Amino acid sequence: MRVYETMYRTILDKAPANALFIVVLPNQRHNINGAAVEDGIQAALNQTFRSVGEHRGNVEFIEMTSLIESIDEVTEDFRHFNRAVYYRLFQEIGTCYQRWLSGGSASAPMERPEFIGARLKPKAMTGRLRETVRVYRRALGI
Amino acid sequence: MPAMRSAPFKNVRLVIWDLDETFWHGTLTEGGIRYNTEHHDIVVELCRRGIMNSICSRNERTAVEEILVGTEIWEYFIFPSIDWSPKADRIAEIVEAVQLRAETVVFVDDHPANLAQAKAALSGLQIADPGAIRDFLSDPGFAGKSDPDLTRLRQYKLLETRHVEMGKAGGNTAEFLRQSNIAVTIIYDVEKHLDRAIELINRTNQLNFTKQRLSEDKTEARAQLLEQIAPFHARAGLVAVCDRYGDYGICGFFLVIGLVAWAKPKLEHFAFSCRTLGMGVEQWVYELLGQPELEIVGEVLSDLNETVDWINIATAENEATGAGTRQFGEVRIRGGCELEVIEHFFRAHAQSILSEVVTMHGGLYMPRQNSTILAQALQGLTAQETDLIGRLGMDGSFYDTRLFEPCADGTVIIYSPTGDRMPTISTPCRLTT
Repeated sequence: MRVYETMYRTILDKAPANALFIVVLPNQRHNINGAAVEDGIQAALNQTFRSVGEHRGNVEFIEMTSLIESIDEVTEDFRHFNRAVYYRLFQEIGTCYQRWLSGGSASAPMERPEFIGARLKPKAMTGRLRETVRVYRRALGI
Repeated sequence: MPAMRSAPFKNVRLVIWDLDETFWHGTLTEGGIRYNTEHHDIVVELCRRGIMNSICSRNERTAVEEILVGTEIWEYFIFPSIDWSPKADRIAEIVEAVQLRAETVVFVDDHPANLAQAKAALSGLQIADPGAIRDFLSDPGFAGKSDPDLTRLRQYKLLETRHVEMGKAGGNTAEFLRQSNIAVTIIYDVEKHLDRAIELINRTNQLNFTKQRLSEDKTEARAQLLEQIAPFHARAGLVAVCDRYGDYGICGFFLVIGLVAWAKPKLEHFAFSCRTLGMGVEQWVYELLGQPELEIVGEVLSDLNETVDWINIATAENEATGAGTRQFGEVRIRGGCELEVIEHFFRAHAQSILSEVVTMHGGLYMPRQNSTILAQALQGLTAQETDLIGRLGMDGSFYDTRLFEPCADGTVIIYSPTGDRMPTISTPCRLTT
């Protein structure tokens, strides 16, 4: 992972300071006959990238895994999804972008704001917040 | 007098009424009239069936308007034509303005010569004398489609207002359209409007470019469309339109399939309602989608090569002002085919887009989703490395990137390293059928 850590640092160091740099961390769950199976290598890569960038003010991470509502949305292989997942990704990017423009923290979970690009009902939770709730629910056994 | 009609009536969408001795009893300029409430009620009921009503009468417009406003029926008529000129030409103008085929229009008049002239002028026009009116509501040809909220009437009223304003603009259509503040909203959440998408695919003709119909069975059609829009390489959206005159609702649907890495993406569905005919919406959307491959089926009433410079994407701001504000500044994208898929979402909302996604280069796929290549691109290649990649069939362009060039404030760079999990020289996504 050290080689990747160096590469990721090289990449993030070059990001223009006046731009928001969003890293879309690849999905780390395979759909094996309808069951979600963790990909340890991808998880480690994602963790490495995140650790290199987490304190940079203009870098934001979006986890594809958190945008997948059902493992059935993972098709063909772990990098390809039902069309709806890509729309969630677009919405999430819009949310990150608006938060960055307004000077908000890049890492703080927040409600998905009203977002143009569609007359759509905003989703109730962002992927990250949804993941947090999932962890709490698991911990509390509910 | 026996009823004279183009029997049997078929698929009526518009009734054009004469007034004297037809809609009402008597002749207005010859001693007055007796209002016919049965005909009044028929007009209202036809509107509730989505069948429109117009007027073609030789009369004084102000006097007619005063009566019909007083009886609260005036607003149920569209494109009324009331003057002393011959009727045949005016009926043709009404049919053209309403954008319907003559075969779906019934002209009802008490004067046989008027009916004959109109039928001679407009091939396919259906005609009827006043004796036929009493049977309109029970005739299968007047079944229409239930519209208790008069949505269709409102849409035609919008069309009428635009028609009048365009006339005032002196025939300069482009200038009129520029002043109309036409704004388009792309709705990507197709699943929430599936029935409207099916309606556009199956019911539109003149502006349905591919005519790839779905099943007439609603459940089956839903399943078919859901299957078509599900793949990762499918880009689908509904098109809603409004302008300074009103809201036209969801008027269009598109579905693009395929990736640049495979070949030119192709339009599977590209269908628009005629309620926006002449506004340039379909040309604007086609340009927005990057002019995908399109196999036009049958006759269409629009040339997609025309340039449209009067349409904006709808935002909270430009709904009021018509200004074309964008949500994103420059958007720079680098990654695999998953980022090619999301690129189309940005097209309506970014000032500009720089896209570095997987493409073909010679006989090789150029991977842009790999951090090894991107990091190497930033550091530059040694002569030895350049020689090495040359022997692998690659050239320096594999290691080019514009992702980090100086940029304006507000730029967003999106990078997806899906290739890091794979070998450096990756294969692109597979197309499944």
